Amino acid sequence: MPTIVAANTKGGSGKSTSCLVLGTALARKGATVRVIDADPQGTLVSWSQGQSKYRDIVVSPTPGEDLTDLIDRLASEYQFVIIDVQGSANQELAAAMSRADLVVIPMRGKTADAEVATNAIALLRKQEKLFKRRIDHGVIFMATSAGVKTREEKEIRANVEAGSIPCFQTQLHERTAFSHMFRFKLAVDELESTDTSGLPAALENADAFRNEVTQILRQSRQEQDQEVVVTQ
Amino acid sequence: MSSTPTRTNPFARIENEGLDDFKPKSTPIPVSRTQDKQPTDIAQAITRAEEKTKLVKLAENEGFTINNFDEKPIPARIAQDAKTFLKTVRIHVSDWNRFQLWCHENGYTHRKGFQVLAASLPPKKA
Repeated sequence: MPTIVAANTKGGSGKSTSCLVLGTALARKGATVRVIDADPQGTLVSWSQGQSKYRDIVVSPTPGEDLTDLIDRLASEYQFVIIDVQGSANQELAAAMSRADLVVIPMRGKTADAEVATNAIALLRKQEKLFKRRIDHGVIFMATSAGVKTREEKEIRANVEAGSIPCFQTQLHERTAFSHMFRFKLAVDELESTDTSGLPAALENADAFRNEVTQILRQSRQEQDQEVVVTQ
Repeated sequence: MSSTPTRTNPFARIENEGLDDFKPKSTPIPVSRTQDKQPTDIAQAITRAEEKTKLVKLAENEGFTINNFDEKPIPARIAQDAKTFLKTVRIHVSDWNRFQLWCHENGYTHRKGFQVLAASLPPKKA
């Protein structure tokens, strides 16, 4: 049911990585998933040309195809639809957000990333106002160190919190496994420990992200159900 | 608990929970695909179109102007050379879009494209 969008207008913030980690982690749990690669760069489409058993989860819109129609169609067939859009100020992001149950804002702990991420958040807030509906969202810190938090990262976290922007507790750390997913065109659970170090930690990290996402979606659904009961 | 809107903590017990409670959404069939258009279908289509217009306007106001999936029509090429001889043939092009794109990329008219393809065919064995 849920539609999840990775949104940040900055390239290289970790949108494709977070989409792939989440999509394959959900599929590993037995869910039916489709990840729409709406980025003309085609990072995920390229990944799907590998030998992963999950490669069918990636789909891409054809030129001229209405992204919202594609999302609606896939959302009526699959349990989870995840959308990866280009890291630019593009209309696909606005279209995907209009269908989102959850917007994940991947961001590195860098000032440049944080500044650009505010564009996506501003667009989201405007959409909430225009369509009079709440869009759950949260910043996920990407490529962080599992051990040490830099001063810059701490400051950015403080600013995010000061701006009342929700944050995921899970961070996707800088891990070889996450870059090897693209190198070998496989999911984290399909990588070999002989090629990739730190696999158990990467798997645990991916599962924590999936669990947090599903928990947020469940909470949101409960709140919406309660709102319906109250209005009745 | 911190006062900041920090997202929920993934508890260990969730690990064992299934995802069956997430069901695909029931989406109405787009109007264009329905056999008999009902007034409600048309009203729904109008609402969707209005919503889309609002969405595009909002995105543009926020500086989100790039449209990666905009359909870019390929301009037609007019043949400049003399007309070829008249001959009726039956040709099957399995992928017209690919042929059209190939012609466009090579600067051929469709006529020229067919000529190039026909010239590349191996000679028929007697």
